[in-house]
Amino acid sequence: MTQMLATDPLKNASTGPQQAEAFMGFYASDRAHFFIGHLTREDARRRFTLDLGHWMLRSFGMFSARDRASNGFYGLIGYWFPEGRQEYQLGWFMTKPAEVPGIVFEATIEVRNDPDRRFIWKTLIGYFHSKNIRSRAMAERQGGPVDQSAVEPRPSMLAYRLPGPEAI
Amino acid sequence: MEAVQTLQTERLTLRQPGPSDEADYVAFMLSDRARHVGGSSDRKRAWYAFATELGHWAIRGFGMWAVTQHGDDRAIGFVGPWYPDTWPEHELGWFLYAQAEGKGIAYEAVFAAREHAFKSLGWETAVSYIDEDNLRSRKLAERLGAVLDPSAAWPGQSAGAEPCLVYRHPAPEALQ
Repeated sequence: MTQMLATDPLKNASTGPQQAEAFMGFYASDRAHFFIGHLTREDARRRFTLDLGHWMLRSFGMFSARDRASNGFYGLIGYWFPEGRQEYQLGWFMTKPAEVPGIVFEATIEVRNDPDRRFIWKTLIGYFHSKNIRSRAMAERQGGPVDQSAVEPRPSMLAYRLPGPEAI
Repeated sequence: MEAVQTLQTERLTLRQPGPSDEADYVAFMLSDRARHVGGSSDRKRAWYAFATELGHWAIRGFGMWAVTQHGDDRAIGFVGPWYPDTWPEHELGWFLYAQAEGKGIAYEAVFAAREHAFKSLGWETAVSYIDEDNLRSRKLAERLGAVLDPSAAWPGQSAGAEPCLVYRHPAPEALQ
């Protein structure tokens, strides 16, 4: 049993405003710098709306990661596959309380192992800013080499090829 | 999530949009017809707009209805309530795909959506934000009894967004 619990934000989107606040608070914080870069509240709300729409269209998306015991918000872990993408992206975007050794790794593996979705993809791609040392180390720990041939969404990003379900 | 709702009119069924509406919606947003409603030549942006339609329903429990004709589930446009976090007030919006044009469908659909917004959602007033040169939509707003409200704020006004016209619909009491 992992310390972090990943839940689908659609499940309580309309009844759980804390969920929206958690996502939006994160998007508006410095922590979102490498992710989508410190959004205004308006843009954060737009992004959260988009997160939910992504779930409805794809049946997967960004999970809300919380502490299993206290329910404290740890951040977002999950998948991103909007129109036009050629690859399924896995990402994790963590708040400071999640910086406990091991728990992000465990939770990411658990998300990747999710039986409802793990066979949708043969391989996942992680995009990380070249200066985002912490996430790059995490991608390497998950077995991802830098894939020079991958299509990168932005020039400052590195693409890590994460092994498929059979490797977990 | 709430049970699936629909609204029925003489010719139309208005239903909650879903994944099956994606392709037609994206194609519309990429077309010139969408120039007044946030259209884009970028496929990803068009898809984001559709995902946002669904997300609005998830957050608010209401959103723009997919307009269909009785007996055919394929949407021919979207009409109805739109109220993202950043909007100054409740809006009724509309856009129809090309094949639905010129049949009075928009009027019939928006009329039903407005009635539902007042009676079931409890809205006390509603506006429609329309570009000045969108003559067809202005005409529809007028046909629905909406009048220009020069004192009303438009979306993004405080952030310096270009103004649009604000049409205010008749109050619920006036429609009884």
